[in-house]
Amino acid sequence: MNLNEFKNTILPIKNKLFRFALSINNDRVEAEDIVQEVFIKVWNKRQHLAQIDNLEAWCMKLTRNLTIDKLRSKHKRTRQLEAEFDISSNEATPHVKAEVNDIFNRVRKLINQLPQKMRMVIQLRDIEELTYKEISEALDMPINQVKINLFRARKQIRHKLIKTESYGL
Amino acid sequence: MDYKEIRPLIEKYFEGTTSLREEKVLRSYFNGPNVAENLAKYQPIFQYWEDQQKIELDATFDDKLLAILEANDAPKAIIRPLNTWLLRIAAVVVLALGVWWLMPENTPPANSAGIDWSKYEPETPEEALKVLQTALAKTSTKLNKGASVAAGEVTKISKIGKYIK
Repeated sequence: MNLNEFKNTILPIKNKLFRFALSINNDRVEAEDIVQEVFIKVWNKRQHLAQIDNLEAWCMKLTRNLTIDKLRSKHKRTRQLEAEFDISSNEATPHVKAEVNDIFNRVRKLINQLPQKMRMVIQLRDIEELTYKEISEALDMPINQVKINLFRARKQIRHKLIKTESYGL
Repeated sequence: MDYKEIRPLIEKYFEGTTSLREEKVLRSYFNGPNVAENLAKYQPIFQYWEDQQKIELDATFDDKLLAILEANDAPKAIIRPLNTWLLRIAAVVVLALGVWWLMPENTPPANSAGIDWSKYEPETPEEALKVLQTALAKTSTKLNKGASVAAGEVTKISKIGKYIK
């Protein structure tokens, strides 16, 4: 595989990998570094890519492992702090209007409060639109567990969102 | 899609049993203009998913990455480390040459005038001892000088070796 083929066939998944890393570490700069590292690994393994069943899922798995490893080594508690102290992430896009920001922050807070596995499943299904099989490969999680985590995550979000709406919070 | 079709889909969604296609339908409905009033409470969720999908890496990422991949693939200069055994052999040769070069010539020139050495022979054992001591002292001085010059050369070679490795 040459550089041009790499650019056309593999590089297009960069934003999915980036969003996934960002959803775990909430650090744009680090997430970018991680995506770069993943692509360097893929490039170095380009002679053996045909052996990989689902390249996107494999890249997602690499991204997840790298992100978690770096988080562990830095002993980061950003997500926990966000959930505890309601420190909103600054990752709102420029397309968001001011009056919607508040709602998005509420949804973001609900998602941040989910356990890590549920959060990752929700990210890969509802934002990245991966199949159950792809999510299972990316997270090293049996497909049944993927479905259970998805169900629980959506149930929690619904329950908490409706509750906060009812109380006007 | 209207309310009658969306209502059962949203329940399926929260049971975690919708297909990807059905989820796309829900996303499209809740990000559209005609959301039914009693479903409006779910709109933030689907608008949030849509908003999150817009997050991207900045425009310079591709160029930076491709430059790194190209650089990684460029043929590298092969630097061969100098064999330390060769260095040692060279040091010994230099040392030997240094000693040989600094030792004075012992063989007299062939055409030197005849010298009556009997005049210089010691006559007593004490005299012989004195002559021997003087000769040994001179030799020792010369040898020390030769060894320190050779040591200096070896130091130079080991310094060169550090840069080459």
